[in-house]
Amino acid sequence: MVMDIRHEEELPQTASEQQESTPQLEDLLTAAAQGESLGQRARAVEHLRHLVLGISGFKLLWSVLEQPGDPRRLVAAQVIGYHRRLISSAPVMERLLRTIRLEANTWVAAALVWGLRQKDEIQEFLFGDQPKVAREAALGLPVSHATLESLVGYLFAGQENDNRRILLEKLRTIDPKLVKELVYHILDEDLTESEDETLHAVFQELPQVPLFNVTIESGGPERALDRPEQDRAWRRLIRAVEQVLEAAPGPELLRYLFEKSSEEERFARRHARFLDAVLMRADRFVGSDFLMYIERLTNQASEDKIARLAQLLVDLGSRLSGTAGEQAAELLESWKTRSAALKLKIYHMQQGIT
Amino acid sequence: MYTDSSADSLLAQLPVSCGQSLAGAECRILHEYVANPFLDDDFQGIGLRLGMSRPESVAALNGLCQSGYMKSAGQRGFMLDLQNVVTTIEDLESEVPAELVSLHSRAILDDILGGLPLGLIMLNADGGLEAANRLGKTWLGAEEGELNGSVFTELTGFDPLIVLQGFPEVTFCRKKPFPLEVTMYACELEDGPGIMILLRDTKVQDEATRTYSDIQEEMFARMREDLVDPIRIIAGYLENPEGVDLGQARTAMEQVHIFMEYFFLAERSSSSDQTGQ
Repeated sequence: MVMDIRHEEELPQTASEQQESTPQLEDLLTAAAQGESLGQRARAVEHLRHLVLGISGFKLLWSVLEQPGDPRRLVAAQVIGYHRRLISSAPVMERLLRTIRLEANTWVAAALVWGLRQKDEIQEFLFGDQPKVAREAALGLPVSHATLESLVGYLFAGQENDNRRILLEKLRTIDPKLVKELVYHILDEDLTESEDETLHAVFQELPQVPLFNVTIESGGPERALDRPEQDRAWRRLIRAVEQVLEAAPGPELLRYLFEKSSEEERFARRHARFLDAVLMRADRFVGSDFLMYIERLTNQASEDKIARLAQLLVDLGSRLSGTAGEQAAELLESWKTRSAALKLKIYHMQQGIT
Repeated sequence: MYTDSSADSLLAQLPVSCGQSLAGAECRILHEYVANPFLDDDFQGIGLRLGMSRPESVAALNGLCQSGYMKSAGQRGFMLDLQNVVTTIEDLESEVPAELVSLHSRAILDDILGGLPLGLIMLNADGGLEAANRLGKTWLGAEEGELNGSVFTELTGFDPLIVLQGFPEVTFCRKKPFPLEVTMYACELEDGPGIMILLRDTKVQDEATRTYSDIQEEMFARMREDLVDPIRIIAGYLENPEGVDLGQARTAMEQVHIFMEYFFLAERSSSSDQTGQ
């Protein structure tokens, strides 16, 4: 049976808690903050890490935190941040959030925000005035459905600091399912021309296949794009995505485009210009692995599918040199042996006759 | 725990003065960890925090682990190895008079670094030996009293003077007779520019990484076999008790118990104890 403790005010008392004596904790906090030697401080921190804190220990930490002049406040805040189990219940979380909002000491506030890492509640401190607090908030921000709006809002707020880098790097780990939501949040921003750089920076960090699908491939948001300004914004967004993907297409995108183009003629026609632009920059990813992948796509494939793949490979092959170029040419030759009609089609493609 | 300025002063008190033996990336990482000694970031977290690429943060953290400053924590995190730091400080306090710790003499350097798992060689701008600890000499295979820039070049194929000619930091690895990572830095000696060479034995680290991944793979294989499949059966039973055989679900539960007992995650059942007696 699982006990719901989300609304429990008090933390359960543990066996180790009964052994942990408050004076010892108090001594350790003092030694860690004000120990005479480095060794003494280090030993105290080591003990503080290993303590299993319960309700009395937590109360003591809280009381230290609430004494404005206490030199141990920073250590207490870090201990709370380290033993994050202590802030798992909703009332304690609320209390902590209130404390951080009112905290004047930037180091203590930053340590408490560090304790909120990977929790959605951390997002409000991203917009704080204290740079150290905002940095910890950026570092600890989870990229989730609940935090996307804040993340996009911060990136497009024109902030030029290290937090921008941190958040952009975090976008690399975004769940592909959230890319659509992120793009729509960007669409909701009132973007000026000067924010094109940020737009490009964001798109450069996102996984390319989902980005392609939710922008270039999709017809736009399901909600109406009938207002001209929103329609313009959407077109601008698509243009930015195209520029980013065409400038540096990754191997995943290339594979996806090859596979879809070979399977669906309409897809190939719809994105012919984009595909051509991508192929211009794709040669650096193409090696024997990629060519083997294309070869696998032709297993039990129809002649039409092979012909479409051949067209792509002819376009790509003209930009390949060395071993990759030779392998591409060999692959085309092997496809020619499948039928006389296919041989003629590929020959025409190679001669530029379509 | 400490503000930027106090973290800097604490860094200077660490067993080896930061500016002398650690690379810039290692110093920056240590600074973050001294400022908050409860920090337990992983490679990615550190890279994010300090704007380092993954290879850079991996190399720096590995270096700090080998030097005894850091240790792995949790599944992927890293922490300050306070126990090791405390031991080293206490050793130094008991062996070396405090007033001599800051002096840069050969004997003191050997005393200070003798207990640490890394080799250190200091050369002057002419390639002459200024100081070297025991590990530095032994790992290179240099004869006592013969080590200098030319001998180093003969033994490794790398000219240390290159770091004084526009390459402030050069790192290379020696594979045989055992893996050794060698980093050469330009530094300032009392009499002018000099070269500091840091040697790290990466054999233990390579072995530990291999062993760790072997154990992890084995563990995951066991879990797939003994936990995932039985839990799927139990879940199937809970979802549709009429569609799945109760006996099968019980057997699956028993398999989970056996797994947990094997890894000491559950106490052995009293019935099996009695059987054993």
